[in-house]
Amino acid sequence: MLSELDKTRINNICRLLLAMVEGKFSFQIERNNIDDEIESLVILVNLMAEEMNQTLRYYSQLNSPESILQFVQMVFILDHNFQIIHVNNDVIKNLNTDRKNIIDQSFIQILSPASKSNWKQIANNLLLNKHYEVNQKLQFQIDNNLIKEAICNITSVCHKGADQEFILVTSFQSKTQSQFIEDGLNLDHRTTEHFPKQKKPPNILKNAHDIRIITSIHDYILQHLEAPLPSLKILAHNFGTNEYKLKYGFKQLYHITVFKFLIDERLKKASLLIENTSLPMKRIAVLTGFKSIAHFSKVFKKKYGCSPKTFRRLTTSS
Amino acid sequence: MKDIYDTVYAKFWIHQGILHCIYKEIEFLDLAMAQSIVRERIQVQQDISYPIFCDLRGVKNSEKSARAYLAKNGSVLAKAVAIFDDRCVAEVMLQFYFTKSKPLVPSKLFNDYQQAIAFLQHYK
Repeated sequence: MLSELDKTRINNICRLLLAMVEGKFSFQIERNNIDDEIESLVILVNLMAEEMNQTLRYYSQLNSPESILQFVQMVFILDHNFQIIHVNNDVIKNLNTDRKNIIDQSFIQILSPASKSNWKQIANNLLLNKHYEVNQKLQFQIDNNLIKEAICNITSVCHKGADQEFILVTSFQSKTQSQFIEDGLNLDHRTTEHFPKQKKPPNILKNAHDIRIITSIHDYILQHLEAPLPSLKILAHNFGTNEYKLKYGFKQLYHITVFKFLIDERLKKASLLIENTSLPMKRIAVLTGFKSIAHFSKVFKKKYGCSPKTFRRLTTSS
Repeated sequence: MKDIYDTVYAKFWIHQGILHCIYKEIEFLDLAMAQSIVRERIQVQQDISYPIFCDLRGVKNSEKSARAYLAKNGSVLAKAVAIFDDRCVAEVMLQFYFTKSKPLVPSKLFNDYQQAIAFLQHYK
């Protein structure tokens, strides 16, 4: 016989799965400290929701890079005491609640325990600074409902004639998140750089098998950064595809050419080593697959705006 | 007497050619924390590659970008990684990590310290 607590936990799993059925992937189940099979399932369902949230958005935008946008999802207006005085309809929809449960509530009441402490810090800053603005990931949770996670912008707003400030909290649908943009590269910049408007890239990846091959090649490159990369033709043949599919398929999937990706990843690894070790530049060049120190310095400078040596001096002194 | 490097998110020490990395209590491991841990580890290693014993029991939850960062940059100056976690929930967490984030160096989960160390001996 299940305990009441376990029934609630299983119920939460069902609720999250049902939310996913409806296409809502930004919810999470609140974790607890119990170490058992149900908690394993909670973790797995949470991971799946997170994964699908990012992957599905990514795939849906694959063929229309120009349409990548960020748009406001939830809007809260708070008074100077951080009480909610207005919300938009998306808040009601996303938090699965009634307007009356939210209006006049203290904002902290609708946050998860983990986010409450974040909010206290933000609230302090809002009280201390006249014009304060910050981006922060917040988890919303009403009663014991599922947790809705959102990246929020919190801004103090001065209104002419009004003595007190208002606080505006807005959440966004975040931009595509895949591993290769974890460093926060600007998508708009990528889009225009790699997909000029007049020249639409061919749609190569038509089935799951093709996508699997391209992701395998992507992983292979990451695992062999220090080794010379074979030509695209040989690389493609090694993985059972052809040069054309590799060239355009890779670009379609990752929005970057194979060689640019290789150089970018080598440079990321190099910058990590330059910043945190005292290894000589020549050694770092070898460890990251550059054939000559001259070539390494040249491409490094192009990406980071300074030579590897200057980069080390700047990063270690800061 | 071994030197222990006590940082914000983890403790590090090197014992018999194996780097030990013990995560502290972390409620939610985010990308900034992962970056900080990798940076500190590389600094501790002082330019030498090691097999790494990584006690992950302190981490309760993590975000995707943090896992991706660890899988990729956690391999810098690492010969292999033995992840030690004897929690019931560890298997699911790590299975997911190995499948989706794909660490770049040989990595395996253990719930026994001696077995983890035995695995790392091959990479010394």
